[in-house]
Amino acid sequence: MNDDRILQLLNALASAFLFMDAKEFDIPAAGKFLNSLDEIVQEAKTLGMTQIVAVSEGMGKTLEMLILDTLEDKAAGLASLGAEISRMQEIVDSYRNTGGCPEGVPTAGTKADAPAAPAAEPGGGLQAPEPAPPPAAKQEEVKIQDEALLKDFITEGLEYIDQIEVNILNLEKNPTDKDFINAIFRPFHSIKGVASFLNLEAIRELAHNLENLLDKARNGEVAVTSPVIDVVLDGADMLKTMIGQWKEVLEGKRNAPDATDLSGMYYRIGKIEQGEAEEAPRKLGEILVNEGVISKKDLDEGLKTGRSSNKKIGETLISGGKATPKQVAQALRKQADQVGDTSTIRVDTRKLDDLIDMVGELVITQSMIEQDVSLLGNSDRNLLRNLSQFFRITAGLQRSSTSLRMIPIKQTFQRMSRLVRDLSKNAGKVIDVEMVGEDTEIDRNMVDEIYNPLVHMIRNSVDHGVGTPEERVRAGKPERGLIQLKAYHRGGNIVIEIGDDGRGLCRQKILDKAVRNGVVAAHDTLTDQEIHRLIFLPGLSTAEKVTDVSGRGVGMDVVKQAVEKLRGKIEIESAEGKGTTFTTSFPLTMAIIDGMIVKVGRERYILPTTAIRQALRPAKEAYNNVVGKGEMINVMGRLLPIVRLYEHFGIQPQYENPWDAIVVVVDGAGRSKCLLVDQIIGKAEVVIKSLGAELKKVKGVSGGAILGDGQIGLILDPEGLFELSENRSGERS
Amino acid sequence: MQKDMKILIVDDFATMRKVIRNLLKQVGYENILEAEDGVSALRVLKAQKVDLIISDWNMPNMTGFELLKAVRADADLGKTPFLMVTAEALQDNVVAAVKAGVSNYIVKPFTAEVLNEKISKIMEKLLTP
Repeated sequence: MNDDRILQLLNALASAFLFMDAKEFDIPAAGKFLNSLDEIVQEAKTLGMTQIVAVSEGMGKTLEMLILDTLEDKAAGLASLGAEISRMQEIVDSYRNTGGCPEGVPTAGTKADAPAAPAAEPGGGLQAPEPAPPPAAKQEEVKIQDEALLKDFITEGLEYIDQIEVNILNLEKNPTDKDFINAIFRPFHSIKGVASFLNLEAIRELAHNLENLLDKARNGEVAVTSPVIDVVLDGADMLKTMIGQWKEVLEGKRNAPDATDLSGMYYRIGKIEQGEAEEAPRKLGEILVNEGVISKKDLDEGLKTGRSSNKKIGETLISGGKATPKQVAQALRKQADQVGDTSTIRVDTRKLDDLIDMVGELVITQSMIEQDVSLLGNSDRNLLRNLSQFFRITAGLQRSSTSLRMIPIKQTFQRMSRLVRDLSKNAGKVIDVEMVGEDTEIDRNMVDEIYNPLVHMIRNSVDHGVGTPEERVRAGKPERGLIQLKAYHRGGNIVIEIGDDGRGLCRQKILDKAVRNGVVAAHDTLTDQEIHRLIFLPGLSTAEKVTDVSGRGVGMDVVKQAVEKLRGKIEIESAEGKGTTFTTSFPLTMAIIDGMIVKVGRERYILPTTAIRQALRPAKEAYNNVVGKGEMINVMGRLLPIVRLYEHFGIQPQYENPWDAIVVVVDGAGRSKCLLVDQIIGKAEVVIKSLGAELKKVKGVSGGAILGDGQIGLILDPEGLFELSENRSGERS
Repeated sequence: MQKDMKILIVDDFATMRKVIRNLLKQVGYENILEAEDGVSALRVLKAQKVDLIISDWNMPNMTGFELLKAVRADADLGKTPFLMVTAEALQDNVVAAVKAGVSNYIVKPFTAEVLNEKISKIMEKLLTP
């Protein structure tokens, strides 16, 4: 028996031990020790020295406890290690002398079995028959130790939760994909980590429980089924709320976060971990049930009939009228869907913004050079050629840099999809969501801003647009309502359509309400389009029930204002009984504006083209001075007030009479007015420059831009101008 | 302890990196670098000499454990002191890290004092052969 090696190993172990000291317990030495023990165990196994194996394993356990600091009497622990080493040497000697194992040698160090501090139990946690919920929610102590850190935590935490939500939807489609599970596990783990440092106990605990659940999913102890997805989604929602409340505390909007009762959540988690919510892996029928396309009952019946007729579940459901071929096809696609691979890096948004600002400056400087170049005439061919190359590159650079901030609107659509799912459940309706063009990109700075208006519209569609299944069937429509989310680029804008196949706007009701509110005279004739636009006026909701936000008459006008604030436009199209579609369009980037340059006197101003309805030189006859209302121009049958820009800005204009000058009809805050200008110079894409904090307060001007010749043009804000003109006309009449 | 020693913090959660940075500052360590995962950490390590690595375990692309192994396997970086940040002393993790040659580990959440102690322990060992 060749036992030289094991002797060597043992000797090495013994000398390594000499360097170990209870007072200054050395982790690296312990590591080397453990590795040596492993080698000894290997060697002992091949030599058949089973007792060495046992003793070594016992020593390993003791050492682990020393490393993890779960042994109360460390000195005793170390001493026992020393004793075990001696014992092992004896055993090996005995083998050498007698060729067999010695008698009466006790196995596995007894000292190692007596940890005083609680040793980590393998698979600890919930082992009680009924999962016991933690004590009732306590009011969180509001001791914000480090505001800056809390702020960062809130920002990043919310980002992480968004990631979780997106990945959950991916996980639903691929419940066995370890990468997705990991992608969800990590954010919970990270949130828990920082929460523990910031003493945010409730958040820490919830994150911890969810993390544990996902850990079990990761190593296969728990299968990723619907209840798991639901509880993780709900948990993420809860965390979002809790973190949001801390945000409000920082903003001074509240004193302390609400004491949240998480017992329900822990109960659900407990049940899952005990294996009481098991389900078989993803089948077509289950996907359909999950999506709310069919009910569980439908699935069961379908499976039964399918078995007898030997048909596939998809076919059975279609022929039984429980699902449309389209829905089954979509579910099949979901089943087969593989998520594309995207390689990404994280970049500090400040750096990104700096880069984009810099490119903006480049664009301005370039247009100045362009001006100078055109003044040079055709002098230097070479120079012109090089410059033209230069301009091409700059244009490309500008496109690239703005695209850096672009992200697909998919995430927003997915959030809206979830919203529809939740809202329709509450409202007792069954609504499918279809997404078209979800890869269309939008400036990431805008994503949060547009979310609220879009949510309003979704709520409208769910609450007032789409009817209940019974109602729909009576109207000859399919039971399941449909909301379509569509996004595409058009002419420098991103267009988002939210359409439903519900009741549509009721023309008469809107008209009646408008007459009642005095907005419209009883005998006025309005086109359908004009009537539909009326809902954007304050107080004009015709909803019967007051549900949350929509229906209290503060809905669509707030939405329109929010959209216009982002320099967007909103239109509505509707057919009674057929459905309603809201179309919103937003500029692709907030930094550059598509503007029309106008001249007033010697100054030039820029009007955002999204606000412009039309421009014209009115006929003398079109001018009216209405008593009590002021000067007006008749534009295609409508009387619109005039705003004399030169008066506002105190400049000497070229023309004072509207019929000599040009009138630009602009929209703002729900109304239209005529701006009086001398000339229209042309259209241009200009880089918006902020006027600084002080000048920001000036009404009617939303920023400045450097024009092609290096001069500054002020960008006008129609809403502000209207307000100013109204205040002035108050003085006038 | 030389308070000007260079420390590399590796964690994918920026706020957590800040937390550790603040704690280190509290006990006098200001020469700090950051990396958001194992891959970028290795890049940093290849570019400059670092006196101590403080790394989280759970990270995308390359976990702290993988980073530890990569560091220990590298001829130049091999002996760099490595402090692993873990949650609740997850038994298996810690033992695996110890076997892989981690210098020490620290459990979240920890105070500046505990952090200082662990760092001191690690750096002292370097002085002894």
